[in-house]
Formats: sequence, structure tokens, C-alpha cells
Amino acid sequence: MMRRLLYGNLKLVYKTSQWMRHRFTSNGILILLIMPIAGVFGFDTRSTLSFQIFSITLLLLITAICYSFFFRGRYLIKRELPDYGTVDTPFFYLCTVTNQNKKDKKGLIIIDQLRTRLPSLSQFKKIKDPLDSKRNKVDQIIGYPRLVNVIRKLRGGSIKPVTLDFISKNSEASTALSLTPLRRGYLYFDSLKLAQSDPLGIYLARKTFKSTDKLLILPRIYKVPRLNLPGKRTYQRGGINNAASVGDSQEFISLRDYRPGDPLKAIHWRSFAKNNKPIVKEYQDEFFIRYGLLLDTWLDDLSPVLFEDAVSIAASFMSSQQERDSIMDLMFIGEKAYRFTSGRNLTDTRNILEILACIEPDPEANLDRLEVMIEQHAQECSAIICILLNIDESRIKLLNKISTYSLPLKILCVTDSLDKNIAHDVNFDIHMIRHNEIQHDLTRLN
Amino acid sequence: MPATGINYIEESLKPASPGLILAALLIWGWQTDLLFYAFIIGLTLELPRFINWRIEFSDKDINQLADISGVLFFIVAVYSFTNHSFQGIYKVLELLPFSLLLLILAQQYSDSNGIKTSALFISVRRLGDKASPDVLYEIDISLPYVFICLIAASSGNKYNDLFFILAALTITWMVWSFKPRQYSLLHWAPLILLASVLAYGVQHGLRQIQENTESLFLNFFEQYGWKSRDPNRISTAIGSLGRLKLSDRIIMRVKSDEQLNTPLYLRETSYSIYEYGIWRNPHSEFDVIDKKQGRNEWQLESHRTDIGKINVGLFLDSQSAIIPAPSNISSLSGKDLIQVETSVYGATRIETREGWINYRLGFSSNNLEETTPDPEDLIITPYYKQDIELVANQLQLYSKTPDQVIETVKKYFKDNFYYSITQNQRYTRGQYLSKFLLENKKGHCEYFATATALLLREAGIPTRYTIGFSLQEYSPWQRMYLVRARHAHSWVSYYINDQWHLIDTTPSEWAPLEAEDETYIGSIMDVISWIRYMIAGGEIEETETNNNWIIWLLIPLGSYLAWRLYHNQRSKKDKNIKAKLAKDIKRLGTDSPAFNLIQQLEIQFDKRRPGESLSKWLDRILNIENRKKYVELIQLHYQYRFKPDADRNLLRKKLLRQIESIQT
Repeated sequence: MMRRLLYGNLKLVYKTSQWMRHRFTSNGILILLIMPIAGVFGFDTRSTLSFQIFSITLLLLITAICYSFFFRGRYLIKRELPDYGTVDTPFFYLCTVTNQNKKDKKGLIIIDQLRTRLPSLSQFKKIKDPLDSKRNKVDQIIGYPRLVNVIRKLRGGSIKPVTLDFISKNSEASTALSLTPLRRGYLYFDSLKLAQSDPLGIYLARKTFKSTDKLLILPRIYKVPRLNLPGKRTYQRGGINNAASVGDSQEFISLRDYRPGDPLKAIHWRSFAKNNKPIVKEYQDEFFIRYGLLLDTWLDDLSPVLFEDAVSIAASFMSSQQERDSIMDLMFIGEKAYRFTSGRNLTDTRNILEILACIEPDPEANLDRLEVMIEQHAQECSAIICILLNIDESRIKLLNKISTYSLPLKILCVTDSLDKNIAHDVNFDIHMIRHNEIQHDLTRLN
Repeated sequence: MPATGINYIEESLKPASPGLILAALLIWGWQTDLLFYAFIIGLTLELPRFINWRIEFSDKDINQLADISGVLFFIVAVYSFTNHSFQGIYKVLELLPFSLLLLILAQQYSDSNGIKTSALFISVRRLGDKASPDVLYEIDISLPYVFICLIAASSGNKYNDLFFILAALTITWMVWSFKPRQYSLLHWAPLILLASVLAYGVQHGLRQIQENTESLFLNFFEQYGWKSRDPNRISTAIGSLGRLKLSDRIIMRVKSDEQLNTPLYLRETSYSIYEYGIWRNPHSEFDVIDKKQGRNEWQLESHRTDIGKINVGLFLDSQSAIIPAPSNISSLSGKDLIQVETSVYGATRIETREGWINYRLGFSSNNLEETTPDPEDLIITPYYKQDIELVANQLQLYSKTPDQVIETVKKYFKDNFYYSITQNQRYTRGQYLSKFLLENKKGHCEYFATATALLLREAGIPTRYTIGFSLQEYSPWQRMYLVRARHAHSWVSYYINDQWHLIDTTPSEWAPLEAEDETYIGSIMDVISWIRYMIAGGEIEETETNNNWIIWLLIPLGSYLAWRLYHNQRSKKDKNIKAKLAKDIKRLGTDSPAFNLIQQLEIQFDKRRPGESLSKWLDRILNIENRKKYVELIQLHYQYRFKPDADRNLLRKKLLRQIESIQT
């Protein structure tokens, strides 16, 4: 009950602070903050003259706010977004304002905002903020900085308001706005606002224009070296065209008599019934190198930053396969088991990156399902690359299982600790990829 | 029209216009009588606009300055609250420009545009470089400093209208710098003028509201808290409807070496004329008592000597107050006291400071001499005359001696009346006392004391209505007597045999009844009150070394600062040692004899390329045959160069031997 009340208050404080930031200029905020301080000290009008400063600041605010009611005019405003953005990489987009009035306009401010959804209490409780360990106990218990950080992350970025110095009557003007995405996935744009400061430079009068858009933010890509895994080319039933499909779809060529060793599922049962002898379907033979890229999505209690690193590394490998004569299967467990193939122009990199942009960590253990998935596809793979979030018992069990397929194995484990050297106790050659040194550690893979 | 550039709106505070800080500081100096300091500080802060000399402050330096400013503020706050109690907040306010001086100086004399939020907020500092730009940014603190100076100036509380004009002008000057470019002066000036004129009206209104509210609730609040009594007039709660409830707040503490006889009546003052719920005096002149030579002590009557002394701690909200004192008070002493006066009505008034004050009160065997009774001490207002006569007749007071009258009246109230703090019935003005005497026969101490005074007057005995406190509660854990607001009491002084005496006809159960509403919160409040009392100086000592504990507080604070400084020095030393070690390690083995040989080879063949290892270079310049001779030499050279724990003398000998063998 207390927690719910506290959380309600936190949300109220957050909304108030946002309202202040959006409605007042920085100088206006200073006056807004000074006013109650002067009011407190001037509460007893006989003790100090602070109530006079309170009166002046109060009237400045009231005058500025009242002036804002006179912000009139007809405008149109629209934004033109790029197709994609990339995490932590600033990009620009255009906003065009049309002045439909009979007067020139000066000093209009364009405010674009991303949709902000406050997490529910249960969501907030589950979300971990890596910065919490650096905060003091009070901040950790009350959780306001965590809430602000979480909202910031959920929103995905902030857009600095921009001033349009001049628009002549019945014409339009464009300006660029910049945004640095803080997370991958879709960013939602809610509305565009046109604002104008009052003559005192304190308060912003605003007009809101409904303008919803969404923009996909792709994970960050690193340069990865060519992996010289000793795996051989493997026979791919159905050829290259079907190698991208998940499951058992194949390119059929003809029927032939059964030979010992043929899989039972290749038997053509109708012909078997007609001829009374086993007939199997024959497929076009094709051999090429096919890597399996295993992405560990079981976040458990680990830092979400690690998962982001793992996704970025996976994206880097998947996108690097396009110009190479090999294909790569991205395998991970989400709501169900997923396998996507990239390389040899099978799938557009953008599609793979889109998939990776929307991938979510799984709080539940899912390594057993991953094990089953590998078992199904191991025979098609020349080598396997594992991107793990941790090295623990269950993951070592998974690695042991994979090693039974006698496939060349490249194991990468992301870590947020520079000193962490967990790979010492296991028999596998594990490459630790440190959070702050991802590019450096990836370059040293070979 | 295509975009030519992005004009982001200004999200940080603008710096103060030239001269603005000086102006604000001068207002502050003028109001707080610190004009000289204000002028010097103002000039120092404006000077960087004219000179290019700057100091290079690191983030760490600024953090430390912010910490020191915080500690300074804390010391000022503790000192002010100690010496001025709650009023200390205004002293803190007054000195605020000093507390923040280091920070603003650092900003003005550094190359940066402001102070980072990490310096101002520890929570941001702890995040280090992981703090997001939303929380870690630079703030120009010059405008906030201007406001702080103005608020600090307001604590001076002088020249109301002139201060308003100057403050408004300063703020107008500041707002001028905010003015967006698109507006002209014609847009801006009417607005700022309108705001200023309205603000002038509002500030007058605020003062008026406070005055009206105070006068409206004055009577209501008077019964709840102790305030210095008006020696001329007092409104009783006679006629007040509802339940009379006084608070448990401790307002006085008495410490005595000997056990006191309780209840001890502590008189504030007496009044002689009663009309419609109000007791008043026709005149209440005070005589100033001369201070003893060279001592902060006052003897109220020179011919009397003290037979005992008590230590009194009293909370005052004004600098002049009538103190509750026993009627046999003979002397007062204490460093908090500035002046002592006494009135003909037995009141003792002191001039002192606000907050908890301490003094020693001496008492003698006889009561303080008051004036002989005045004709007013026998007057009964005609409105009450008839009812008082009726009761006096019933009690046959006219035929009794004064002593008998006293006994009869005492017995009359004891047998027929009971104590009540609730009055629900509404009567016409002035009827409440008559109803108490003749019908209800219940009331609180003011009814009893007023009725007794008038009855005795009817019997020809001069009386005065006396108010004060009844000292009756001893706190074993605090080891002192406590006087609470609810111990406020009234009784009657009567004059027989050329002497004033005391009669209290209020039933003795008044005190337990008043204490009925005591709650557990009261106990907590007692503890808080005691802590506050102790912080404010505690009990008075003979040596009167008040507030010396602040030195003890300064010791840990000083130690902390010293430790911080030492720690920083040590960090620097550590850094120096580490740098020296790193340098030593770098230089280790640079005297290897192999270098001469390498130089010779470089001259003979080709120079080593940047980043080329010795072995690779040798591979490049020598054939396989020759190269073999150098393998061991290189190993020894590397050991000599990069293995600090190796036996260097032995290695050197081996190296020389190897070089010799190569050269031969």
C-alpha cells in the first residue's frame, strides 16, 4: 500500500517536472523555483521582506502565463523521418511548418516529443537499472532516479526543441531536429508542438498538432573479423534457396529407390503403397558453409546492458555475412524458437536487423529449448557461434551438449566487469567480450 | 525554404548581465549592514569581465569547493540556530551569500560556463561518467546567486518600499536579459510594468492579510500558547464556548538543588479592574532595576538577601517579556539578560534575546513588596454588583472578620463548585460570571479567581486578579521541574494586615483534569523539546560558558576537512609515487650493454622501424647463420630490460660475455 502510494507520488513528481520543463523556459524555471523559496521565508511578513520578492516573482509568472493565452494563428506542421535509426547514433530529420496567417512570424519553437508511457508499479519493480549500484541508499529505496532513467530508456531518446527564426506569411519553413536513440526497437512519435515564448521570456504558449509516427531503431553494429572456423561445407537439402526456411521444406527433384541410410521422413508413402517397395524423394544436392549463431536470451538477474551487447554482437555477425560465401542461421528463443538465415543474399540484412531490433530478453530459463533447437539443426551446421550472457552451470551444460556434435565452436560471453574472468574454470575456449571494450575484444577474436 | 542550420533553444541559464551581481550584493549589504563586504565581494565577482586571468579548476577542485561551501553553510546554520533558536533561520538567510561565495568565485574565475551538477548534487557525482546528459550538465549559477542575494537582503527587513523598488528593478534588469529577440521594447515594457505594479499591490495585500488573520485568531491562539503577558490588559476565557484546552508544550524548565514545595505559584502579573471578561490595570509603569557593578545580576530589592536559587530555562518569542516568577523573587542573573524591570503589580519584565534563555532566580523569605492597594482594588463593576451582593449576603460576609471571610469563601467554593473546562451554554454578554456563581457552579480557574476577587472586594478586602503558572510536575529523567502551557493558572492576591496574600479557590483537581488529554505523542514531544533545549545551550552553569559545545562540534568538522585535505594530498603523493615508479620501470634496463651493439648494427645495416621488435629487425638484416648468435643475446637483453626481479648483476655479466663472444 505504502509502496503504491509512494510510486503514485513519484509519478506525480515526474509529471510535474516534465510539465515544468515543457511549459517554462530555463529562466522561467528559475523564477518558478525562487518563488516558493521566497514565499517560505516571507511567510511572516514582519520578519523578512522576502514576501516582496515572492510577490514580484508570482506576478511575473502570472503575467507571462496570461500573455500565453493570446498565442493565436493557423499553422500546419509535419515531420519527415528516415527509414531507420541506430542506437546511440544521432540522426536528423526534417520538420516543416506552414504559416497560414497573414502575418510573418518570428521565434516559433518546434517541440517534438516521443511517446512517454510510465511503467506500472509491477513493471517498475521488475526493471533493473545498472546505475542503481552507484546511487545512495535513499535513492535506491525511493527509486525516483531509477524511474526517471527507466522512463528515459522506455521513451528511447529526447529531442531538443528548435527555434524557427522567421516564417513569412502564407509560406513554409523547414528545420532539422536531431535525436539520439537510446534503445533499439520502435520509437513512437506522438505529437508535434508549436510554441512561442512570452515577451518576458518565461513561459511557452503552445499549440499541439496530432502527428503519430514510428521509427525503427536498429541495434548497434560492430566490425567483426572473418571467423576462420575449421568447419567443413555441409550438405544442404533443398539447396540454397530453401536454406533460409525454418523447418524441413526441400527442393524436390525426383523419386528413387530407398537406400539404407535414407531418413524415414524422406519416404514417399504413396509410391511405397503403389510399388510395394520403399521409394524416397530425392532432392537437389548443395554443399556450403553454414554457421549457426546461437543467441542467449535468458537474462535471469543479469544486467540488461549485457543483453544489448549480445544483440549488437549478433547483429554485427549477421550483417557481416552478406558479402561472404557462407550463410548464417540466427537461433534464439523468444515466445517460441526462432531461426533466421542470412548470407548469400538470402535475406535482406535490414530484415535481420529489424528482427534483432525487436528481440526481447527472456526472464525465464530457456536453455533447454535452445538445446532442442540445436539438436534439430546441428547436422546442417558447419560450425556454431554461441553468444552467451553468462557462464554458469546451465550454460556449461548447453555447451557440453553442443560439443557432442563435434562441430567447431566459437563461444563469446559478454561481461560488464573488466576483471571478470569466469572462463578459467571451464574446458571451453571462451572469449570474454567486455561491455566497454566490445570493438576491441571482437577484433581480437581470431 | 530549406533549413540552413539548427537553432536549438537555450536550455541552460544565461549568465547574469554585467553589474547585476554587484547591484544585488549592494542591496544585500545595505539591508544587512554588511555594505563593505558586499562591495568588495561584488567587485571581485564582476572583475573577471575586465581581465583575462583565469584559474584552471578541475572537476574535483569544484567538487571540493562545493563540499566546503556545504560545510560552511552547515556551520553557519548550527551556529545561528544555537544562538537564535528558530529565529536563527533568518540569520542563516542573511549569511547565505557568504556560504555560496566560494562556488560563485570558482565559476567566475574559471574558464567553464558554469558549475556542473555533479558538484552540487552528490547523487549525480556518484554516477560519474555514467550520468546521462539529462542530469549531468553545467549550470551558470550567477542568476541564482543574484536571487539568493535578494532573498538574503530581505532578512534585513528595513525600508519596505525602497527595498521593493530596488528588488523590482534588479529583477527587471534580470528579466531584460531573458527577452526573446522577436519582441520589441514596446511589447516588453508594459508587461514588466504591469507585473511590478500588481506585485506592489500584492505585497501590500499579503501584509494586510497577515495582520487581519492575526487579529482574527489572536484570542483563539492566546489560550493555546504562552506569550508574554500584556501588563495592562488580559482577556479571560470567561464566556468562551466549547472546551478549553491548553497544550502540553513545555514552556519553562526549573532546576533546583533542593526539592520545591509544589504547587509553587509563579506569578506573571496582577490586574485590578474587571469588566465583561477582561481584567485590566489603570496604569502599569515599570521601574528599571540597576545592574550590580561588574556582574550580570540584578537585586530586585536591595535590603533582601537570597535564601535559595533556582535555574530557569524559558522559551521566548520576543526580546522583551514578563517572566513567571515566585512572589518572593529577590534577584535575577544570567548572561542572556540585558535589563530587568518590575511593576507595581508585581510583574518582572526582562529584556533578553529570543529563543531558549537561561537565568538564575534568587528568592528570599518574604514576598516582593508591592504597592499598597489602590481604590481600584475594591471596585466591583455595577453590572455584577447585584449578584455579588446576593452571594455575599448568603455567606454573611459583611459580619465577618477578614480572616473569617477568606475561610468562608474558600469553603463556599470547595463545597458548592466543581471544575469544568467546558462551556456549552450561550448567554448574553457579561452574564457568564453570574451564571457561574448562581446557577451552573462550574467553570475553570478564571471563573473561580474572578468570582473570588469580586466576593472579597464585596467584603471590603482589596484584591487583585493574578495570572501565572502552577509549578507542579517533576520529570525524574530530565531531573527538573517542567511547566507546560496547560499549567497556566489564575488566582487572587488579597491584602490583609498590610501584606498581600494568595488565595486559590479553584478545586485542586484542575491539574489532573487538564492533563487528561495527554497522549503518547506528548511524551515524544517532551523528548524532542528536551533535545532542543539541550542543543540551545541547556541549563545555566555558574561559569556561564554557554555554547562552548560548538567548539566541540567544530572539532570533528575541522578534522573532516583536514582529513579531506590530507587524503587529497596523499592521493597526489600516491599518484606521484606511482608516476615515479612507472618512470623507474620504464627506465629499467636502459643501461643494457646490448644497446651499444644494436647501435653498431643500425649503423652497419639498417635502422629499426617504428614498432619493429628486435628479433624481427634482426631477422630482416641478418642471415640465418648470424642470427643464431643473437638469439641468446636478445633473451638476456629482454630479461635485463623487462624483468625487474632478476639478478641484474648476473644478467649484466652474462650480457657482456655474450656481446664479447659475438664481437670476437
